[in-house]
Amino acid sequence: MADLPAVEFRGLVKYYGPVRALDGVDLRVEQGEVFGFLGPNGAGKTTAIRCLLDLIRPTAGQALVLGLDSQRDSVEARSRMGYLPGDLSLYETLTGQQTISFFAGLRPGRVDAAYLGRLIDRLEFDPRRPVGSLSRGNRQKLGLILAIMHQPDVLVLDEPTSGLDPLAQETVEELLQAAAAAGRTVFFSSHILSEVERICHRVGIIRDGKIVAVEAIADLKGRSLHIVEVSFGEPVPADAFALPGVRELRRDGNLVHLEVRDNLDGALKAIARYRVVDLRTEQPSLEQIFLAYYQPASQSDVKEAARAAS
Amino acid sequence: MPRLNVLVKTLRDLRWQVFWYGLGLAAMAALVIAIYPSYAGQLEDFQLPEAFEKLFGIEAYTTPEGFVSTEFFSQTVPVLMIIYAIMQGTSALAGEEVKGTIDVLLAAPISRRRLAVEKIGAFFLSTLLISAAICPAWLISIPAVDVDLSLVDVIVATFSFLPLVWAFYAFSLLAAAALPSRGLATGVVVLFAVATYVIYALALIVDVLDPLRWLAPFNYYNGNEVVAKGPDYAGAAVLTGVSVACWLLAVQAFERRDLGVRSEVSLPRLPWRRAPVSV
Repeated sequence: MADLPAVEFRGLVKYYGPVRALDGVDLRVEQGEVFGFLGPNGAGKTTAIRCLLDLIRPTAGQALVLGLDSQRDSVEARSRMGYLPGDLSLYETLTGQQTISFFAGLRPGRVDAAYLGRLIDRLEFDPRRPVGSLSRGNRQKLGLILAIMHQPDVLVLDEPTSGLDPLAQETVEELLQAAAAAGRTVFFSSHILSEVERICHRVGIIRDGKIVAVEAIADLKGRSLHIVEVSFGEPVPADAFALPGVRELRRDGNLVHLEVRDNLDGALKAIARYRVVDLRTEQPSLEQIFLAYYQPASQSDVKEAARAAS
Repeated sequence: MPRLNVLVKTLRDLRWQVFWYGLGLAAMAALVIAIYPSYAGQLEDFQLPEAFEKLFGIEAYTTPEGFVSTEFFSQTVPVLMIIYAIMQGTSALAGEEVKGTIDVLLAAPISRRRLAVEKIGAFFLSTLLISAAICPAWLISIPAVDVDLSLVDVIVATFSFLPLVWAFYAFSLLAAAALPSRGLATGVVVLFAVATYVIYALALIVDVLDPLRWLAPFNYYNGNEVVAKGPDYAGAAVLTGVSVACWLLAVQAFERRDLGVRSEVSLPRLPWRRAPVSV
């Protein structure tokens, strides 16, 4: 049992009519991991997660939770899972307390009252108010309570911190870390890298319905990437930094911004051919590393161009 | 095992509909009995065209049984209840999808079939409750006005229209499961109800249409004479059979479908429509 992956996708393909949402997703998340499922909006994160919950049926391939097939063993798989939908909808006319009671009733004997009480306190959630009157953040808290209250083995969260203020985001991150510390698996999607960076062990990056990379956060951070900003004392030819692993981000007169990947030596030698007035290097964020390695070149160029223009 | 939580919650959600339907229909029942004595005298030498008599069952209008059947059981109440059935049928499961609550609901370890069966069960019970709520009105008004009516016959009749109501609920559930949008499903079922009623009503007068009468759900309910002659049990069996068949098909469609992606599958990707956000 212990060696079964908590979440596994095997060649998951999903078409909506002619629209391809997933194009052969293979992924394995081990038990006890905090795994970030990362990708831009529309990449297929929600589709993959909803296949796992058996809300939608894959065109091909398989989604498994602790070795249980999401379709064949659907009920058993869902009994081991907690799920927070990305686009959370609850019953507007019920109060928080009624909502909790209803969903707890669907998992008889699985919700510990003391744990539930602590969870509600910790999130500073007021269960007496009707759901219809709750703010986005408070709804999200209620959604989290519903996902976590039965202390599931596998916690699946679709963009759990979206709509929360920074303080509540921090509380959620602490909760996820506490769940992981208790040996539970946390599988969550996000498009915010900094959040993933803080709490995940590993990340899987999905783009256009395909997993493009699975890496430990530590490795991703260890990737060599430098942002070099050089002020030259003379005009520099346009093609001066056309080297492998070096990309000119932008140029304002004699001020040149370079992104250097795995070729710092070559870049410095190219720089040294001209008169240098000032040079600064920047520690890249995970976001920049991510963009440098996984964003298609054309797209990041467009982004950079937009940033330079603004 | 979960303990029918969905059924209980659905019934709880329906409590006000049940309350107002029950109260409204009970008030109507009492009113029909209250006005009977003043009509009874006037109607004795009343002559109507034969077509009217067939359509509205006025041949027996002068008896208390005929009067109550015509005023209460033949059209008004079934039509009101059918409206309730169509509203509930198109929203029971499709409503959870449209509102997006299906995601949290089916994150719980209950099968789709169980969810559907509990929803159907809740509707079934709600209709029984509405009929039951009408009964006190008979029990009070009939002895009070001193109308010569058998309480048992009237109470049996009060439950006799339910198979017709269940059938329309089943059609609505099936339409909502099979068609891409809830509005379309409602439209189709309403159209079906109106069209088959027209066929049924005209077939009573025009012989050419008679072969089509079996198509109309109304054909299997004898609202015109239900108090005098008792319910059409064979008709009720047909309606119940059709309901069960439609429920099975609806549940099967619900079990097989992708949930909560209705607009994505049903609408063509028009150039000005953005790609669905939740892919």
